[in-house]
Amino acid sequence: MSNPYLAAAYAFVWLTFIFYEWSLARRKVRLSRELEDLKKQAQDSPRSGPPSE
Amino acid sequence: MGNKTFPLTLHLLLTLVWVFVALYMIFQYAPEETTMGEVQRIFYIHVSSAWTAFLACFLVFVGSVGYLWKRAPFADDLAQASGEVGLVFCTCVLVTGPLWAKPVWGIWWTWDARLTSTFVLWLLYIAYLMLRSYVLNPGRAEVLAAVAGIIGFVDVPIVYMSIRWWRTQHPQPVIAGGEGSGLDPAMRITLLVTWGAFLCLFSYLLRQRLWLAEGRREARKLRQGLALQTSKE
Repeated sequence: MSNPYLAAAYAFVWLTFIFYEWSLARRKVRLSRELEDLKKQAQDSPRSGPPSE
Repeated sequence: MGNKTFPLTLHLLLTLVWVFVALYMIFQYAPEETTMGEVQRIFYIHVSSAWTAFLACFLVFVGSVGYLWKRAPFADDLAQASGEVGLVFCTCVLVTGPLWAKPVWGIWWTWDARLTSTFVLWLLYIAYLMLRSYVLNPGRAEVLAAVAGIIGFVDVPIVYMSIRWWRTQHPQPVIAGGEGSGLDPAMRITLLVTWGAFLCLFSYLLRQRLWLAEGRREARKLRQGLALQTSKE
């Protein structure tokens, strides 16, 4: 791949996809943590606990 | 995320293998174009990105119509996810195009019908995503985005037909073009394999983006439930 335009085009495309995949992975980790926290909070709240007699 | 039917890791592996096969075909199998030389190999990723961006735009349209018709949350998730992934592919079209144009035409950009309508499509994707993030009222945001998604789709046939309707700097179509147009069989199969790889990559990214959209909706419901409980206490 000696042509600089060709090299730049291929580099741009693959770097863009890698960056987007990284961005998705980061957002997935953050959301998974948030969901875990929210589920935990919902479980810990008194209404979701065992019914009191 | 539908991982039970087709695990995401397997999907990634298939995508990588397909991409490597496509790259091998682009640089080893496909013949070099006689007038443009090596730089013509940009064609394979440029066209594959464009067709994938069109598909993404079509999915935005389908999801938007589906949401307005059935108010199904999945339809809205599909439109939102396709909009974002489509923007990535459309950006690749707009960057690889000028990188191919400069050595061949001698200019980076010209405001002809094909280039301008593609640039408008890119702006429409951005406007669509901005609309989604700036309208805070949840029910209203989905409806407004769906309307924008349907209106925005009008640009896709204009982009596709622009080189047939108007005289443009952009070359005439080599696939499904008029008489005298056509592609070397080895180039055609390489293009199809590359587009297949891009579709596999698109679906891989889309699945992850869909999972995010579904997860965010679940988080919103949980937050609303917790807020309701707190207000009752």
